[in-house]
Amino acid sequence: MFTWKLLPFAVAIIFIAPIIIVFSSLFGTYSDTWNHLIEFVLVDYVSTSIFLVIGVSIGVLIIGVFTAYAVTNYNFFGKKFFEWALILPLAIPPYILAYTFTGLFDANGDANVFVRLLFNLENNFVLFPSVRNITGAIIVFSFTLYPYVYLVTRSAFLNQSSSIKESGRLLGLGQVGVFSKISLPLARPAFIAGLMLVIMETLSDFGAVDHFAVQTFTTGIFRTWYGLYDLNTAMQLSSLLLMIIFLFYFLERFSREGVNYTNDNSTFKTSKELNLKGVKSGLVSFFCFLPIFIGFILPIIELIIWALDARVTLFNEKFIMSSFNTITLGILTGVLCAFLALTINFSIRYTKNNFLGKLSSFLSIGYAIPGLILAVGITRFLVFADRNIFSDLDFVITGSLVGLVLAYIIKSYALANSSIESGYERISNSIDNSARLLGARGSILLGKVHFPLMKTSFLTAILLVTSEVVKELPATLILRPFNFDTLAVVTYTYAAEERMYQAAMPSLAIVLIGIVPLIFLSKMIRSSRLAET
Amino acid sequence: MTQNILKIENLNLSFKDQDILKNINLSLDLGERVSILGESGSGKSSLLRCIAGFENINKGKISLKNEIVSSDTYMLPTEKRGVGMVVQEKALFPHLTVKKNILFGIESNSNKNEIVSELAELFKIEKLLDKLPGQISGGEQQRVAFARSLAPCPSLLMLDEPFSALDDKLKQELYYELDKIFEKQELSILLVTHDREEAQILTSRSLKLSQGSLSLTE
Amino acid sequence: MKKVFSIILISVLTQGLIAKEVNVYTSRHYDSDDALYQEFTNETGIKVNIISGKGSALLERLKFEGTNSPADIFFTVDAGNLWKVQKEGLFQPIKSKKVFSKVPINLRGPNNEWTAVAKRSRVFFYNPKKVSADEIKNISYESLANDNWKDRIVIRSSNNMYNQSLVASLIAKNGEKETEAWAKALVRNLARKPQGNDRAQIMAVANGEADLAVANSYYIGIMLSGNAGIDQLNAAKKVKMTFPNQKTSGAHVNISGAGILKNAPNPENANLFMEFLLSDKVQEIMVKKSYEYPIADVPLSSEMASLGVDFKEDNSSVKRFGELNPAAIKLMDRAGWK
Repeated sequence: MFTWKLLPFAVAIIFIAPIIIVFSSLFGTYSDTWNHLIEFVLVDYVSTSIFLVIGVSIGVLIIGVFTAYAVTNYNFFGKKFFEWALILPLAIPPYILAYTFTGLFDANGDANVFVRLLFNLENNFVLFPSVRNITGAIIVFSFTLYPYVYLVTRSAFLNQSSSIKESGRLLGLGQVGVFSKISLPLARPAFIAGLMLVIMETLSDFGAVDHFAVQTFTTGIFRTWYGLYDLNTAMQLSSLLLMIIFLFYFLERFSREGVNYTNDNSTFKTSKELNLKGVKSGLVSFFCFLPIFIGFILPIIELIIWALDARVTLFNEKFIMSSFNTITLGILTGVLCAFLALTINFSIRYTKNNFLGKLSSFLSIGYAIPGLILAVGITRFLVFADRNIFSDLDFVITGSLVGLVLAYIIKSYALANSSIESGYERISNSIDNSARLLGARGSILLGKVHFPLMKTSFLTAILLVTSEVVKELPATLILRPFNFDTLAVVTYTYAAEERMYQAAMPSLAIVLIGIVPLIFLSKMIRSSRLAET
Repeated sequence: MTQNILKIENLNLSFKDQDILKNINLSLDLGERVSILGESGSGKSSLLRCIAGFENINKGKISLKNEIVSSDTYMLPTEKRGVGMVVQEKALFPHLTVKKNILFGIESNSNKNEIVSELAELFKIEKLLDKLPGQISGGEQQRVAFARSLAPCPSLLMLDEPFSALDDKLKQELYYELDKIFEKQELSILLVTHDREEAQILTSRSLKLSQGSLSLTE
Repeated sequence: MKKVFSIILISVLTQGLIAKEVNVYTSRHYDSDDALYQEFTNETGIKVNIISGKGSALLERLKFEGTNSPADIFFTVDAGNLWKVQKEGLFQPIKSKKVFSKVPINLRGPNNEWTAVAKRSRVFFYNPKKVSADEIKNISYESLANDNWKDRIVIRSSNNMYNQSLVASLIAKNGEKETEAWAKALVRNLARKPQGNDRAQIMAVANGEADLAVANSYYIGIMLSGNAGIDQLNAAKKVKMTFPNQKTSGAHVNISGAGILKNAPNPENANLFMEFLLSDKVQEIMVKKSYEYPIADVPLSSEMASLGVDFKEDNSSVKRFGELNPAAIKLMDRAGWK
C-alpha cells in the first residue's frame, strides 16, 4: 500500500518541478515591463485570446458534436468511411495548416491562381479573403482540433442506451428534441473534456498565430522574452495563463462532480441507426466531408504541390535521420507516458488517495504550457539536478534527451491520462473487490487484472501521445541534443524562411507518421461498436 | 359504444431474412387490459416497438384510435402517436431530477405542476422529486418511470417486462398499487411478460406469442 | 526509465569519444550552412556539432548551462542577439589577426567579443509603374512618414527582429521622440495590417496590393534565383529595389555574426572555425547561396550585383541594436505597429 502511495508521488514530483519553476517567477520581482504591457498591449493580447478561444470553441463544438451525432445515430452515404476518417485532421498540426492556408489563399496563393486560370481572370482578381487574421486562426484551429471533441463525444453517444432516447420520443420529442434535450446534455461531460484539450492547445500555440500575425497572450509572452529581453516577466505572464487554464480545469472537474451518467451495463441497448435517404443523406455526407477536406485533404494537396515543385533532393540523409529520430522519440515517450498515467491512476484507485488525484490533474495542465516556457523550466530543473544530484557522477543530463522526453511527457500527459482515466471508469469496482478477495494485491491487481482489461485504453494513450510528440515544435527546438533534428524542427527551419517547397517533404512526413497511430485508433473506433454491444 | 384504441391487422415484421412477427391480429378497446405472454426471443418486445413506431413494418397495418399509424408505406413518427411505454431498464433521464423526468412530456401543459404532485402522491415518490435517478433505488426508479409515462395521459400504455428487475416483495407491492391506479384511471394497457401470475393480476385477457405467432392461451 | 538512461548514457559516451569537434549554437538555419560545416570538417578533420534554435532561446540555454555548457561558438543573425550574449559576459575576446584584418572595427564587438560574418541591408522594393522617379530620388526611411505614402506601404509585423533593429537604429540616429512620431505616421501610411514575412511584402508590391515594401536585401536574390519557384521569380522581376538614405546617413545594415564562448571546451577549434567563416572561400559561398553581402573582399552574386554594387551603408549603430531593442519594441507598441 505504502509503495503505491509513494511511487507515483515521487515520479510526479519530478514532472511537476519544471511547472513549479515557472510558477515560482510569480514570487520574484516585477519589472517596469509590466507598466508598458498594461498600458499598451495587455488588453489587446487578452481580448484577442478570449476572442480566439470563444471562436475555436464554437467551431470545434459545431463540427465535433454534429459529426459525432451523425455517425452514431444515422446511416448515410459514406458513413462507415466518415466514422474513422473524421479523426484524420489530428495528423495535421495547426502550424502546418496555417502554412498551407497562406500558400492557398494569399492574394497569389494557389487557390486564387487556380480560380484565375479557371475563369481566365485578371491577375489582381482575388476570390478568397485573407486568412492572415483572427478569423483565419479560428478556422485553422477549429479544423485541426475538432477531432478531440469528435472522439470523446462519439464514444459518449455510443454509450447512450437507445431506450433513453426512445423514452424521449414516447414523451413527445422529435429527432431534434431528442438530440438537444437528451443526447447533448448527457454527452456534456465528454465534450467539455474534449473542449478543454482544444482550449489548452489553442492557448499554448505559437506557430499558427505567429504565422498569421495574430497577437495572442502567447505571442505576447514571446515578444516579452525575445524582444524586451525580459524572461522573468514572460514567465510571470505564462504563470497567469496557466492559472487561468487551471481555473477552467477545476471548474470543469467541479461541474462533473457527483454527475454519474454511466448506465447500468446490464440494461444497455445499442441504438438502431436511422437510415437517411436522398437529399438528407447527401447533405449529412457533405457536412461530414467538409471538415476532412479542409483539415486534411486540402493541406495535403498543397504540400504535395510544393513537394513536386521543389527542385532539391527530398530524400536526403537529413530527412531520413530526422524521420528516424521523430519516430523513436514518439514511441518512447508514448510508452513512458502511458505507463506513468496507468501507475498514477492505479494508485489513485488502489489507495483511494484524493491528493494523488489532484496531483494528476495538476500534471494535466502541462498540456497548456507554451513549449518554450516549459523548456525554460526544464532546463533550470536539469541544471539544478546536475549540480546537486548528479554532481558526483560523470555525466550531465542537461542538453541530453532526458530534457526532451521530460518535456514531451509533461506536454502530453493530459492525453494519456484522459484515455487511461476513461478506461478505468469502465472497470467496475466489484472487479477490484473480487480480485482482492482472491488475494491479488498491488502489482498483481494492476498487472494481471487491470492491465489486460485496459489494453485498448493503454494503446490509445500511447498513440495519442505519439501523434502529439511528432508534431511538437517549440520545446524540441530548444531542448534537443547536438545534431538531433526532428521532422518538426526541419519543417520549422524551412518555413521560418518561408521556403515552403523544402518544408513540404518533412511536413508530409509528419502527417504520414501522425497518420499511423490514427489508423490504429480508427481501427479501434470501427471495432468499438462491436465491442460495446 | 366502446372506443377502439388499438387495432393490428395482418402485421408482419422481419429483419434481414428472419421473420420476427407473423400475421399478427390484435384489437384493444378503451380501458381494456391485455397481456401477451412469451419467452424471451418470441418477438413480444418487437411487437410493442412496432406499435410505438420504432420499427418499420413489412406488411399489414396498425391503427391507434381508428387512425392508421403504421403500414408498409406509412409511418407516423413515435412522438405523434400518443402512446406510453415502461421498460425493464426504466430508461430514466440520468441528468434530470425525478421531478423534471416526470415533467418531461408535459412541459407545455398549464397545470403541469398539479399533474406532477398528483402522480407523485399516487406513486408515493413525493420525497424523491429533487433527487437524480442515480440516487434512488431500482424499485423507486420503476415508480418514477410509471409516473413519467402516465403524465401525458397516453391513450395506450405499453409495459415491456417492467418488473423483471425487481425482487418479489417489491413486485407484489407494485402489482397491487398499479392495479388500483389502472382501474381508477381507466387506462388501456398492453403488457408483455413471461410471468403468468403478473399477467393474471394486472390484465383481464391473455394471449400467447411464440415464434412470432399470436394465439389464445390454453 | 532504465531505457531512457541507457540511451542518454550512450549519447553522452559517443559524444565523448570524438575528440576533434566544435560545438555550434546557431540561430541561422540555411541549408547552405550545412554545406559549410561539412566543408570545414573536410578541411580540418574537426566535426561540427549543431544545435539550432531561436537566438533568445539559445542564449537562455547558454546561461543555464553555465560552466557545463558544451557550446564553443554562438552563430546568429541580428546584432541584437550577439549583444545579449555579450552583455551576459558569455563571450571570450577573439584574438585572431586573420579575423581582425578582414572585419572593420564597427562590425565587431566593443572588445572583440563577436564579429560580423555577413551583412544584409533593409531596403525598399517598389512598383515602378506606381511610384514616380521623383518619389524615389532622395528616398529615406524618414520620408516614409510623409503624406504622399498614405495607404501605399507594406512592412511585416513588429514581432520581427529586423524591424526591431531598424527602429533601434533610427532611435540611435534621430532620438526616441522623433522616431515615435515617425512610427505613428508610418502605421498610418500602411496599405494593410502587417502580416507575412519579408518575401510576402515584396509579393504584395508585385501583385499591386501596395506600392512600396520594406524588406531585407537577400530575399530578392533568392526570388530571382528561381529556386523558390516560378511565381516568386516572376514577382521579383516586377519590382525594383532601391537603397534608402543614400544622400544622408546610408542604408540600414544588419549582420550575421559569431563569437567564441567563454567556457568553450574546444577554443582552438573554435578559433579555426571563426577564421574559416571569414575565409574568401566561405564568404563566396555565403554570397552565392544566401545572397548576403560579404565582409571579406569577394564579388557579389550575379543576382545581387544586378541590383547595385556599391551603396552607402549605415553601420554606425550596429553595436547598439541590442541595447536599444526593448525601447524599439515599446515604441512600436505605443505607435500601434501590430
